[in-house]
Amino acid sequence: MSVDPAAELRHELRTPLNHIIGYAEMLLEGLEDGASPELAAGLGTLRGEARQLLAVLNEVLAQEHAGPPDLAAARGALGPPLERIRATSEALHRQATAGGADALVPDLGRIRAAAARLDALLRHGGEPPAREDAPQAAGAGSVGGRPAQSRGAILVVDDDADNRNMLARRLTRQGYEVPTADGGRAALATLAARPVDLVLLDVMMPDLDGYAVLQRLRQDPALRDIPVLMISALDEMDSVVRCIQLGAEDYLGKPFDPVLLQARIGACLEKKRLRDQELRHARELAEWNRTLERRVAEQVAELERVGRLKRFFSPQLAELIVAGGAEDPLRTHRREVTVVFLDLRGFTAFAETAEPEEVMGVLREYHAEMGALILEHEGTLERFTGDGMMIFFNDPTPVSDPSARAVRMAVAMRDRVASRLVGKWRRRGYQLDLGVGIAQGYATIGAIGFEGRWDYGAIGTVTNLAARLCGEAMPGQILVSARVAGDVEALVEAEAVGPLTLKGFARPVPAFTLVRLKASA
Amino acid sequence: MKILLVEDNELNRDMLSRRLARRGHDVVLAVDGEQGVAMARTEAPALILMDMSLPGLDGWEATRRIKAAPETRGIPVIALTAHAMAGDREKALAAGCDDFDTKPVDFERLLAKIGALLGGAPGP
Repeated sequence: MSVDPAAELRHELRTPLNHIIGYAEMLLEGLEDGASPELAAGLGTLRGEARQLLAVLNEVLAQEHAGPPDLAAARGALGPPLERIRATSEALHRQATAGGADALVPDLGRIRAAAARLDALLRHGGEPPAREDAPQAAGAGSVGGRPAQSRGAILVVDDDADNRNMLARRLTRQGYEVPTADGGRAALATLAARPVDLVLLDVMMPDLDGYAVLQRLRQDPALRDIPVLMISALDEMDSVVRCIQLGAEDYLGKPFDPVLLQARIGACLEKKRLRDQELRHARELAEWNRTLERRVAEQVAELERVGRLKRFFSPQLAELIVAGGAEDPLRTHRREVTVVFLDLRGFTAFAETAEPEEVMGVLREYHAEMGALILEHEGTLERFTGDGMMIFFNDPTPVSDPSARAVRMAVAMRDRVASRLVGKWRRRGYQLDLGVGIAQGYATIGAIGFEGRWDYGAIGTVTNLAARLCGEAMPGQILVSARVAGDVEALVEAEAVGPLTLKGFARPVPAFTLVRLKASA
Repeated sequence: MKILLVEDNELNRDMLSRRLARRGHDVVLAVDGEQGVAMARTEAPALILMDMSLPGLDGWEATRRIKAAPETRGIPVIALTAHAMAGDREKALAAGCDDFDTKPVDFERLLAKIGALLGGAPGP
C-alpha cells in the first residue's frame, strides 16, 4: 500500500466508483436473458452515471500534480453527478426489494453503500465531520497539528476569521503546516517566533495593514527572503501594484480560485527552495574558502617556523617543536647547559697563507665530520664561525647526562680528526689539529637578533668559559672546567692542568685535560 | 481453468470472483501478497490476477517472488492497478507480469487478456 497520503486519498476516491461500476456491470450481465427490463435499464443508467463521474473525478485529480486532492474544489464538480448516482441506486434498491428481485438486493445494497461512502469522502475528506465544522480559534495559532511530513509552513494573515479558517483548512489538507494570524502585529510576532516558508498576507487589516507588514519584512535581513503572496479583492488593483512594488511575490484575488492558489503557492515555495539552496551552497563555499585560507596560512606559518628552527636544530627536533612536542627554544629561558667549544689549532695561520679554495675545502671536510658527530650525540649546534663551533647539550631538549654526552662527543671528535683529517692535512702541508673546551653552567637562552634575522643563542659565563678553555687547548687537547671534570669522573681519565688565567675571569680558573675514556666507559 | 485472484478489497474480490466463476473459471482467493505467493505454489493456478496495491507485501514484490521461484515462474500474472499511472505498465512488466490492466476492470477486455494468456482457451 502506498504511504503517500495524496495517492492514498486518490485511491480511496476511485474505489467506491469502481465498485459501483463493477457491481452494476455484473448485475447487468446476470440480467442479459431479458428478465426485469426495468431493473436492467436502471442499472444501465447507473453504470453510465458512474462512468461519467469517474471521468470527472479523473479530470479533477489530474489537475492535482502535487499534494492531496483539493476536495473543496472537487466537491463542486462532483456533487451533481454523485447526487444522481445516489438517487438512482436508492431507486434501484427500492425497486428490487418491492419487485421481489431478492437475488439482486444484496448487491444493490453494496452499490448504495459505495455511493454513500464516496459522498462522505468528498464532504469530509474521510475525516469525521465535526472536525471540519469546528470553529477555529481567532488570533495567532495553528490549525491542526503539524503533519508528519509537512510540505512547508504557510502563515495565513487575515483579520477575517472565515477567510483565515477557510484558507487554513484547505492548506492543511494539502499537507502544509498553517500557522494563522488575525492581524499585522500577530503576523510579525509569529514570524519572529518560528520559521515560515511563505506568507499569505491580507492587505486591509485594522491594526497594521499589509503594506506595513510587507515593509517591515523587507527591512529585516532575517525575514527579507520569505516570499509573500498578497490577498486582495480584485477591485483593489492599485493596492496590488503597490504590494508588488514593495516586494510581494504575487497576489491572489478574492474569491480564491483554488487551482490558481495552489499554483502560486507551489511556485513561491519552489522559488524559495531554490533560493535557500543557493544561499546554503554559497555559505558552504565561503566556509570552505575560509577553511582553506586558514589552513594555507597555518601551513605557511608552520613551514616558516620549521625553516627557522632547522637552522639550529636537527630536522626531527624542529618538527617536534612545531608539532608542540617540545618547548619553543626561541622563547627566552634560563637553563643549565653543557657548552662545547671547538676550533682548529693553526687555522688562522693556515687561512692567511692558503688559497681560499683550499681553506674552504678543509672547512668542508672538517664540518662534515664534526656535523655527523654532533647529530650522533644529539648536540645542538648553536653557531659556527669559520673553524669555530659552539655546541649545547640540555637545550632545547633536556637530556639526562649533558656533560657525559659532551665529553664523549669531544673525545669522538678528537679521534675522528686524528684518524681521518690530521694525516690528510699534514700530507698537504697543513699544520692543523683540534682544540676543545667544555664548561657547564646556567645560561639565558633564546632568540637573539632583530626582526628578519633572529638567531638562537645563549648568554652567560658558561659560554665564555668554554670558549676561553678552547682557546687555551693545545693541538689535540680537550680542556674541561672543574664542574665538568667532576661530573664525568667515572667516565674519563683526566689530569689537572692547574689554574688558568683567562680573559674575562677575575680569578684563575681550575681546568682539566681529558686523557682518554676509561676502558669500562 | 483455475485462476488465483489476489485482492485485498473485499468488494472487488467478491465482484471479480463471481464474474469469473460465472464464466466457468475456478477462482481461488488470496487477500494479501504473502498469501498470494503461498497459494501460487499450493494451488498451482493456470493464471494469477494480481492487485498491485496490497497491504504488507505489495503486488510488485509478490509478483517478483512468484517469478523468481522455479515452480511458479511459469504461471502468467496479470497486474491490476487502481488507475493508469504513467510507467505502471512498464513497472508491471519489469516486475515479471505477463500483462497489465487497470481498474475499473473492463471485464470483457480482461477476459480477452486471460484468454490470450491461457492459449486461446477461454474456458467453457
